[in-house]
Amino acid sequence: MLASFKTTVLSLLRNKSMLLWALLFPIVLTCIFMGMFSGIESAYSAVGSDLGIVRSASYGSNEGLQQTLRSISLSTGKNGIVKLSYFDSEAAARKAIADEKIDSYLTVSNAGSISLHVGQRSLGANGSLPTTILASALNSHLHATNAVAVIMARVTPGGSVPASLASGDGVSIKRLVLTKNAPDPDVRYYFSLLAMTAGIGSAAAMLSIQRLQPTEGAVGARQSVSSTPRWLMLVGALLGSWLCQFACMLAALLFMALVARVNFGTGAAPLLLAIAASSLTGCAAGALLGTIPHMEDGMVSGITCLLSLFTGLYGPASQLITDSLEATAPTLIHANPLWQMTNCFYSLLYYDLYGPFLSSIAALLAMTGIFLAIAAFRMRRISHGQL
Amino acid sequence: MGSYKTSMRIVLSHRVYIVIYLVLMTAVGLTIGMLTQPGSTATFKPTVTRVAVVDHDGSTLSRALASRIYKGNEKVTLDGSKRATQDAIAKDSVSYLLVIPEGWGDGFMAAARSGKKAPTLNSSVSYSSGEGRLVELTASSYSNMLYQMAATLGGSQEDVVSASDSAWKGDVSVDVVKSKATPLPASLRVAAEFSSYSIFASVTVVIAVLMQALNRPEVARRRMASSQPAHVRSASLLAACLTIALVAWIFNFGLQVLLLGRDATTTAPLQLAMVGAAELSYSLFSAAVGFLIGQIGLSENASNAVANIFGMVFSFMGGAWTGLSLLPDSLLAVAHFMPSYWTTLAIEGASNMETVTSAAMGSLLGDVGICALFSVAILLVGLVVGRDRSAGRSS
Repeated sequence: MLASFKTTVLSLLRNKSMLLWALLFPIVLTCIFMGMFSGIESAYSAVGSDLGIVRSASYGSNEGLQQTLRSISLSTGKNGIVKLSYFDSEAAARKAIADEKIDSYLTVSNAGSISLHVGQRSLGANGSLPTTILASALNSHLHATNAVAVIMARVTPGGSVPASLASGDGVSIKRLVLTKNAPDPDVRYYFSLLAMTAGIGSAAAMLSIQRLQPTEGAVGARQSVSSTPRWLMLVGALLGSWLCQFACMLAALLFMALVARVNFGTGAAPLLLAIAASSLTGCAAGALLGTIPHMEDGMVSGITCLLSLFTGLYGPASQLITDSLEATAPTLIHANPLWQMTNCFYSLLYYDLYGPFLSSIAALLAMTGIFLAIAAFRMRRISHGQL
Repeated sequence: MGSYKTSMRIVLSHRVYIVIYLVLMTAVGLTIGMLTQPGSTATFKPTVTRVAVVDHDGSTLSRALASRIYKGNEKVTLDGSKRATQDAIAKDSVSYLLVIPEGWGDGFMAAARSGKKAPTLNSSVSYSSGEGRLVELTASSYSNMLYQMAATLGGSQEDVVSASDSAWKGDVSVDVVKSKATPLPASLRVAAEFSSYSIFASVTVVIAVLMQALNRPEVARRRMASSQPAHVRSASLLAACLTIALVAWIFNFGLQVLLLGRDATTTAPLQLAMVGAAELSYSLFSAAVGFLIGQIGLSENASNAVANIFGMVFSFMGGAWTGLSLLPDSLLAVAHFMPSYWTTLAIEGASNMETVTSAAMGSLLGDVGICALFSVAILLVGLVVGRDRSAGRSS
């Protein structure tokens, strides 16, 4: 067994394309993610847009509206969401929309009602969120104006309006972090990437198991007639590939934690358990694939790429499909070993309790058991058929 | 012709790759497109946010605040347990969560009467923070209005709520300034952008596998020894590569048009054609990369690795998966060296145009052309590598 173990490790270390996949791939993608996410957080929160304002007499007389606009302007306000530009007529503003200079413009009618006109192109390109936020900010202004009117109408004539009317900030809402760590849109990519590393690594186990098949050339045939029990060789090969895969995942994890500064939100022990379980499941899947005749390692990466789609690796669109599948067909998505691996890291980051984490680990171990059982069954048949 | 046919036979015998990378990946891209709201931009529909209010108080005030937050948004019911709350936030099934503490309503009224600050509310915003911020705006302005009313008018909680609701009206009207050109549906744009990966991976892997088969020493020797002139041999290989690229393109673009863009064929044919041109040029670029990988003579596993690494890097950096608007400036500078950036630029530009003018189309065509230039450059490198290798072999 020790000899099989050693041979497996050595041959995997000498396989350059294997190293390229399992070691280089996660590191390259981590670097890409680091670059991608350096600005993505601000992009999520700042939904800025270009707003044109048609100057009219009724706009000029609405002091409150002007103040509101100044407070949401990027150049003057603290929480700016719009870049303001001014037009003398609605026709000029429309032309600016047609020339793609502004996203929307605002008019105040003679009766004082405020209208927002948003360009169809901007709506298509940026979605409805920027306009919704803008409309909501303007609505708060309108409601505040109404509130003053309501109060003035009800306060008895001659009575004084308390000073608190002007301030209107009697209630504060405190942001709490209810999860163990603050939600972070980026970590999801890194977790999916770790799962993908485990998936890709299963090709290593597949190769090691294939080498032991009697049909795989002279070495395979010699090994199948050796006096060493067959199961010992298989276990040795499996352990060897598990070690290699664990090392690759550990390297990826360390790179993410130390260079990309990904917050895993937990100590080393559960993380090590997570990558040990993930790499073991990957190896078991590889062992099973290794018993399938004519299986090529390219297919393993193809399958992994496909499964990674359902962990949310390929951007918001694939996260959308993963989340909606999880809501509608949880069994289907839970059957994806890569999803369970991703969920291990996810649970460690967000939950105080280890329950969700352990259930994912249990699921992974169960999958490992199933894969190995089928692999062992198939392997027995292959060896009998040959001898 | 004979060697072209053989090439196609080799490709077909590796159909697992075609199934995984082309059929399945494309299917997923189309599903994602279909899941995307088609987003009619002819009228304005406000963004709907998933919100939850955990009301430990249950007073008139807290119920009024909750119903104000739910209005126009999607209500998610949480049982208030820690696990459920963490689940909702971690999985982003709730974008905004407001927790109203017990006794808030009474404390609020007492504070308003004495001019003190009302008891604090707690909120949690998930990572789609743009939407969370939107709801927070509503929550804070409504609760402050309640406070104003309570401080100035007094009365019972019901009085405060009814006074506030009477002031909470007369919203800004929003209308859409139609552009002259009909925009392409958002679902089509998403699917078209996503397909960059399936096109690149399928074309490069299949071509690399084909060339690996042709470059096996015995096969290569037999091919070299045949009476077929070298240029015919190369031309038939090139034709095989082109066929693979065209098949991937027709499969992707054809299904996109068929499933997501049937209306666009009549309402926005030129923009649709531009999306098709962008995908075609990316497909040709992928063929050039596959050709180069084959010429270098990488193993099957290595060519898979290269195809996937580059495929993902291109798709990410080109903004095909996240949209160009989310790319930080520093990365945008690097992205200019990715052909996928130029095709995404063309697809996004064509999807939302103000007017279809020859100038606008010309500049988009220029973006597509840059991607085509990348293909030519890679193809030339591939040819040079191949010449060096064959020269090395014969000497």
